[in-house]
Amino acid sequence: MATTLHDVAKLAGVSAKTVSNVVNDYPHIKQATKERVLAAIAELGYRPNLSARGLRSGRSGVISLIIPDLRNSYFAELADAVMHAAAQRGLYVLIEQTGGDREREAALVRGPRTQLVDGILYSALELGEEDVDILAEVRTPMVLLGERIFNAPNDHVTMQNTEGVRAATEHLIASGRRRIVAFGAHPGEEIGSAGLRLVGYREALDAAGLPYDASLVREVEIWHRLDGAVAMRAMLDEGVRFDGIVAFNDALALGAMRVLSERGIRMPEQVAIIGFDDIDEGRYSLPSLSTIAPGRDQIAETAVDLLLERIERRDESFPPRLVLADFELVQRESTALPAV
Amino acid sequence: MSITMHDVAARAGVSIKTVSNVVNDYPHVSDATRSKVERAIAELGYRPNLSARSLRSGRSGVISLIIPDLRNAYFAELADAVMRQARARGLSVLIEQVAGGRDVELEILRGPRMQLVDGILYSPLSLDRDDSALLPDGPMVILGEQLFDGDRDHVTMANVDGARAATDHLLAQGRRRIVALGTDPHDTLGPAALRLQGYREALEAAGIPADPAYVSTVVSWHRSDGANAMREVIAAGLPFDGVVAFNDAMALGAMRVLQDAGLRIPDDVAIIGFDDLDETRYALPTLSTVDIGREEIAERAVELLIERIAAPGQPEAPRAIVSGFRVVPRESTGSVIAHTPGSRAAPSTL
Repeated sequence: MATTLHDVAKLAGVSAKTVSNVVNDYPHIKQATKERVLAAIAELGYRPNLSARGLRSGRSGVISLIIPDLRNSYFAELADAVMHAAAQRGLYVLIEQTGGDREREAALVRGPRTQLVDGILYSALELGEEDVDILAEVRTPMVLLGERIFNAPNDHVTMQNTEGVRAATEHLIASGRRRIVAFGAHPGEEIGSAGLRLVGYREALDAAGLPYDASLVREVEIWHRLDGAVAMRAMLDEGVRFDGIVAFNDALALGAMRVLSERGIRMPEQVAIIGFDDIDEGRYSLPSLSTIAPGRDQIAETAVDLLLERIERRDESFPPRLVLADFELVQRESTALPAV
Repeated sequence: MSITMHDVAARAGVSIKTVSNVVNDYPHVSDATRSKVERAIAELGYRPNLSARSLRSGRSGVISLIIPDLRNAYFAELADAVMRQARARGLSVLIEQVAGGRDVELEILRGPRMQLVDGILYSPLSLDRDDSALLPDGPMVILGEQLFDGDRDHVTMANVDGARAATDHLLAQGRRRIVALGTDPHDTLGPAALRLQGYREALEAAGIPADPAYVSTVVSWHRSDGANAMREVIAAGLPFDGVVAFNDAMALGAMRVLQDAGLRIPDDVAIIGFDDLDETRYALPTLSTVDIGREEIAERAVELLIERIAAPGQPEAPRAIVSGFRVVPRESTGSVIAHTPGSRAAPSTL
C-alpha cells in the first residue's frame, strides 16, 4: 500500500498540515521540524504526488512569468527579482518567452495550459488595448506587467515611463544640452513603453522652452544593443548634429556608446547620454552609464503580492488595481560634466 | 457529466490525439486545426485538467532547469537557449535558481517539488563528486563536468581546452606575465579548477613557470567580482601584460578597472574572457572571448533528457557530450576587428 501523508505525520509526530507545509516548501517552518518531517519522508519512502495534490487543493504552487525574452538583460534581471519574491512566498516560477510574437502572446494566455499554474504574471510586447477581450476570458488569476495594456480587468504593476524619461531629459537640459536625441522611438505608437517615453521627452523639452525637432527623434524598432549600434551609426553617417541622447533603454544606449567611441566622440564632453532600466552592465561600461532605475525589485514584489492575493481570493470580485513603481535617476560618468 | 476530450474531438471533427496536441501546446499543429479545436473547447466549456492528465500519463510536460542565477548573463543566455529548444519539443521549463549555498541547492534538488517535473537539467554550483548519493532519482542531465561518479548523462563545455586556447592566444601575442582571474579555492572539480588547469597547461607548454601570485581568487563570477579581483592585482604591484578571465562578466568588470587605472587595452594589458556573451561585442574595447557552444549545449541536453524521460530506468550507460569551442579574437587582445556588428563603413581608429 502506498505511503500517505498521514503515515509521515504519524512517524514525525506532527500534524498532516505540517507535513503538507514542508512538502510544499512554505517558509517559516522551524528547521528542526522540517528535518524531522524530511527524515520521516525518507524513511517511509513517501513520494508526494504533486499532481494529486493539485487536484485536491486546486493549487500547484507554480506561477508563470510570461516575458518577451531573457536575452534582454532587463527581463533577465526582472525574472531574477520575480523568482526571489516568489520563493519567499513559497511559489515557483515557470518562465515562458514569447519572443515578442503576437500570436504566441495570445496563445499563451488563451491556451488550456494556463491551468497548470495558479496565476500568471504577464508582460506583453505586441498585444494592446484592442486585445482586452482576450484577457477578459482568461480565468487564471493574472497580473499585468509593462505598458501595452491599460484599462484591462486585471491588476497592473508598471513603471513611470513618462515621468522617468522626463526626468532623464531634464537632467540633460540642466547640464546645458540643447540638441537632445530621443533614441528608440516608435513613431505613431500611443501605448507601450516607447510611446510613453517619447511623451516624457516632449514634456521636458516643452517645459524648458526647447523646440521639438523631428530629426532628433530616432526610431529604433528592437531595443537590443545591436539595434542601438546600427541606428547610431546611421545617425552619424547622416550628419545629424546633437549634444545629448536620451536612450529609451540601457541596451540601446550601450550599443550607441560603442559606436560613438569608435568615431572618437567623447562622452560626456561632446555627447552626454542617459539610458533607462539600470541594468548591471551600465555600472562597468566606459563611461559608466547614467540611467533611470525603474524600481525593478518593487515591481517584482508588488506583482507577486497582488497575484497571490488574487489567487487566495479567487472567488471574490474586487476592482483592478494599478501600481506605479518609484523611479530614481542614477547619475554616472556618461552625463557627469556640466556643459562647456 | 463533465465534458471530455472525446466530446471536443467529436465536435471539432479531429482525432483525440490532435486535441491532446493542441491542449499540450505542441508545435506543428496547423493554425486552422488549432483554432477549430480551440473553438470546440470554448463552445463546450471543456477544461482539461492538467493535473489529472499528469496523473494518468505520469507526465507534466514540464522540465526543470536548475542554475545558479539569471543575473549572471551566461545563465540568462543559456536559459533562453534551453527554453527555445524545449519549446520546439513541446516542453515548458521551470527555472530554479540555487545561488545561496549547498543547503539551498540540496533542498531544491531533493525537495518534493522536483516531482512536479518530468526531468531535470542541472547545472551544479556547490555540489561535487561526494554528493552523488544525494541526487534524486529520475531523469536528469547534468550541465557541466562529470562530478557525479559517471552515473548521469552530462553535457559540458571544453573548459580545459578552451582556457588553454585562450591563454595560448595571449601567448601568441607575445604576452608573458598573464594573470588568471577567477579561481575558487573551494572549487576543485568545477569550471574554475578546469579553466585554471587549461591556463597552467598553456604556460607550461610555453616554458613559462607557474607563479601562484598571478592566480587571482574570487567569490563568485559577476562583474563586481572581476572588478574587485583586478583592483587587488593592481594594488599588489605585480607587473602583468595579459589577463585570462574565467568568464566574460568578470573580464568586463576587470576591463573597467584597468582603464580607470590608466592602463591601455590591449597595448599595456591584453584581456580575454570566456562565454561569448552578446555584451562583449559592444564593450570598449570589444572583448576577445571563447565561444563555448551554448546553443549546442542546450540542444543536446534537452535531447538527452527527452530520451531519458521516454525510457526511464533503462540501464543505458550515461553519455558524456562536450560541445565544440572556438577562440573569438577581438580588440581587447589586439585583433583587427575594430567595429561592432552591423557596421557598414570601414571602422575609424580608436
